[in-house]
Amino acid sequence: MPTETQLKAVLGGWPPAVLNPAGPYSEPVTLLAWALLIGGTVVLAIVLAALAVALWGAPSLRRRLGGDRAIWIGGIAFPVVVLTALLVWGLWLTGDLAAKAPRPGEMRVRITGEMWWWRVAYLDESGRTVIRDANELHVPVGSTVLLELDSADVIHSFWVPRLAGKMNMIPGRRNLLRIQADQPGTFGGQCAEYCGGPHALMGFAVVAHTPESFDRWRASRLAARPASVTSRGQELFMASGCAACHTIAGTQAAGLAGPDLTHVGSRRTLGAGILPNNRGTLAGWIADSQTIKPGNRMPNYKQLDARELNALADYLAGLK
Amino acid sequence: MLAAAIVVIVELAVQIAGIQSGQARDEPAVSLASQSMACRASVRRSAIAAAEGNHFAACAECGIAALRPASSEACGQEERSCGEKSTHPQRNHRQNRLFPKAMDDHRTGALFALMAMLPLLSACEDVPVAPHDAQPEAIKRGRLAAGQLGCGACHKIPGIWPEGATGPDLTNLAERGVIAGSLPNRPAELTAYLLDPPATVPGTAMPKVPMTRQQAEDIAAFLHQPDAH
Repeated sequence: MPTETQLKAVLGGWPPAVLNPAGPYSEPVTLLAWALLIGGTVVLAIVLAALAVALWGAPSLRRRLGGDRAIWIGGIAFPVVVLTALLVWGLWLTGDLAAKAPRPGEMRVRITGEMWWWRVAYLDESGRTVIRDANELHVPVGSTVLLELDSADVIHSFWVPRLAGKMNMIPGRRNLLRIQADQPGTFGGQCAEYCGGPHALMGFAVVAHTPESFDRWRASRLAARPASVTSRGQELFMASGCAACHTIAGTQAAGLAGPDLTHVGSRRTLGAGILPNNRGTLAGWIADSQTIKPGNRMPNYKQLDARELNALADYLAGLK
Repeated sequence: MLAAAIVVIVELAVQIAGIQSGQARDEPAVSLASQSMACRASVRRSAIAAAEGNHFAACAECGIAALRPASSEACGQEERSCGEKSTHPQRNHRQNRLFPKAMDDHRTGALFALMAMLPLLSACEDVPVAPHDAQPEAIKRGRLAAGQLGCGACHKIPGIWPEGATGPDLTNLAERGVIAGSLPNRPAELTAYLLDPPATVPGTAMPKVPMTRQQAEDIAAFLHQPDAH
């Protein structure tokens, strides 16, 4: 449906298409999924056909169906062969897709599952954080990217169906997942392990750029932010206590509990992949995020009047 | 069936009111007026108007039924405001013929009270005020745009997620008298408000959300559709 497609474009490819791979780390998974689906359908058809024969078939056919030969072939040999083949395929695929260590020169990103959003840190070769972001991952097309997945609280699961299979994010453990996008675009993701409260509203977006566009994006993120003219919105941000949880580089705001807002205005989505990001949704989120995403850790800011809310939304929307 | 009955009764009423036939039988005007009364004006408002014995004037161009003295001056005023955004200026001309200067207030009142009661007589369902003669395509585009812009972050709108509570519930917006606390509930006003809320209603909490005029018009059509709720 075109309407859904357009909505997906706005919400960073969310909800994600699960059987439409866009890279070499999801294609084999999709192939296996199709094999299971089609194979399962064929087996079901055979069983139903056998059932029909058992109920209404000619006596000679029914005798044959109940004979030792049928049981040996259909009941033992066939399942053993098929299930063993699937097991081998599955284990081989898991081993083949598993990432064990960074390759030389490979881009590394640490993604930490939080209740209920994603902390994103781009690492340099030595593992130091060079760019901080949230709920969105930017990658160049055609290159592998190694994701180091962990969790700050409970078990989450990182799942961007068009780019890779699921990978659990476990507190105290670092799981590696390699992804690669073969086409530019935005690919939606979703937490795939129930993590409490608004788990269903914990979305994610991977934005795949052409290499030139990615270099531009990276350079813009690495560039020091020019000292901004203090605006009414920025004053409100500091005065309202936002800085206790959020960081905005170049200001006094250095909170670490919530998503980094240094470039919040350029994010595709708001509230972790659930809303389009604009002044309107920013204002709505600040004033009453609890109605939008019940249980999320940001309190409602109902003490702001209309002008203050507008100024704050303006300021944040301008943090490109 | 209903439309035919209305046309007949309106014709009768027009005859009773003594409008000269050359003016009164202007069919577009009559059908416009009857359409406006029967299909767009709310039965509730019509009934109130009739019950209170007020002069009841209908602006055929924008389909808004309004309680006001049905003198020719007042009517002309209404038309001027409609004419500003009218895409069919000739309708104003036709409209004028329904309210000839010779007609006195009493007769006008009786005529419109009668017309206002017509929907009640015909077992018509309660049709909300739908000031927007919107195309289904526009409504569809509007629904999409409302979702894409995230209007649901602040408003409860049927069919749009989430159902925010920061702004007013927009269910049945078509039946509201005023929008944003001060604007008449008409497509042009709603569109202008959507495009730049703080400029239209200073002090409003609704920020200026970047959108095209087309998107604003489509969203206004979507919000004004009567049958979605």
